[in-house]
Amino acid sequence: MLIKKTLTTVALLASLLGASAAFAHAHLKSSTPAADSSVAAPADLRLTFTEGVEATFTKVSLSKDGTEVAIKGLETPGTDKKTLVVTPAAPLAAGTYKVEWHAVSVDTHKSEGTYSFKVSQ
Amino acid sequence: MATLLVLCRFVHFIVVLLMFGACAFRPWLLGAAAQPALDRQLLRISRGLAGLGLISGMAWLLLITASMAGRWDAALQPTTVQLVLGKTFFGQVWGWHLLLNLLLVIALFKPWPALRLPLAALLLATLAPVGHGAMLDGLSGQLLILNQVVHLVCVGAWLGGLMLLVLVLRQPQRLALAPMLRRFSGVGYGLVAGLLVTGLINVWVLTGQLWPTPLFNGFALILLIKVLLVLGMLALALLNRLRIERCEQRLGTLKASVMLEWLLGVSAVAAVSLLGTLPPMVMAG
Repeated sequence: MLIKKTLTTVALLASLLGASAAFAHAHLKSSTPAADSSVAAPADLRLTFTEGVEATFTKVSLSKDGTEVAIKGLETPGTDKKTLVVTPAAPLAAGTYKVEWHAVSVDTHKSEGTYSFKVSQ
Repeated sequence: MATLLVLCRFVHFIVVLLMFGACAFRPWLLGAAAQPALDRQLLRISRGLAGLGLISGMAWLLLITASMAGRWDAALQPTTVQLVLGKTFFGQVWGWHLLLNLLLVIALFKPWPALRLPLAALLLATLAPVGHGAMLDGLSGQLLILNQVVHLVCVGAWLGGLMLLVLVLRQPQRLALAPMLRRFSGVGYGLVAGLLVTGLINVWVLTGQLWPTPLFNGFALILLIKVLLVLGMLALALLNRLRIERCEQRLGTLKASVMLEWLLGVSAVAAVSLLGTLPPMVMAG
């Protein structure tokens, strides 16, 4: 019984160690539209981070050729809070967009970054 | 802002750790019998610590609010503080944490001794999810938090126990020291083993390596300093254990070495307060 318990504990701990490489402080893992890509006008932008982010305190600004584009919503629908969905107020017109993000992760740390993408006709 | 946050973290952690440890070790070291002089002193210290805990806990909330909002004045805007408490993971944990701290203050001023240890333990446990503990999600995240709870319990019991030992050694009337020291070091083995194992698990999970590299840089450097402090503490503990016979005759050196051991422990907590705010890993590129 004791051995079984020990083995279970070891297995659980091992699963903990095997957890996909963890980086504290949220970093941008991927985004849709992807950085430097050229796409048809998307309904929203999705930023996936390496850890959960607090939507309330995370800021994203979107600009098209230098002018600010209004954003309607900013939320993390998933339970893991890793994917931030940014909804622009109006459909995106063709042009080059720059996304500037300032994230606050669930462990309260801050990080930031920028990327661009292009909306084609 | 960052410096203040580190300071606040340190004060709050040390206060909560000491309160828990002193509460837990009091019956274990001295039995259920009343020790009027010592108990009075201990109660006075616990009240002070609990009050300081409440103040530093509030300050922590305000500093995090300012840090999250990116503006100093946000700390004094009730709506922003409410957003942190209601909408963020930190805030949800912290709301409970502050409530427990308040209850502990009340329990220390009212004659409710039975409530003190459970409240101090819950207060300590609600520290675990804050900081890097919140990094992973799902089962791994919960296990990491559980690991952190065990780590904090071991550290708190050890440091609070040492503080209690300092108080005992400073009592004018002699208590029988040798059996008490033996009991302390008996539990001490378990605590030290627990804190080393859980500490190493933390390092592995946070950095993905057995030991973070480069060795003399940021997170790794401070971790190294912390581990050296802990090793110094262990060396002193071992030395005292080996010389436990005739401890009554060399009370002066014993007192000095227990104090030094305790200070090393407090410094290790100071180092870790800084660690909690540094990124454990620098991403390549």
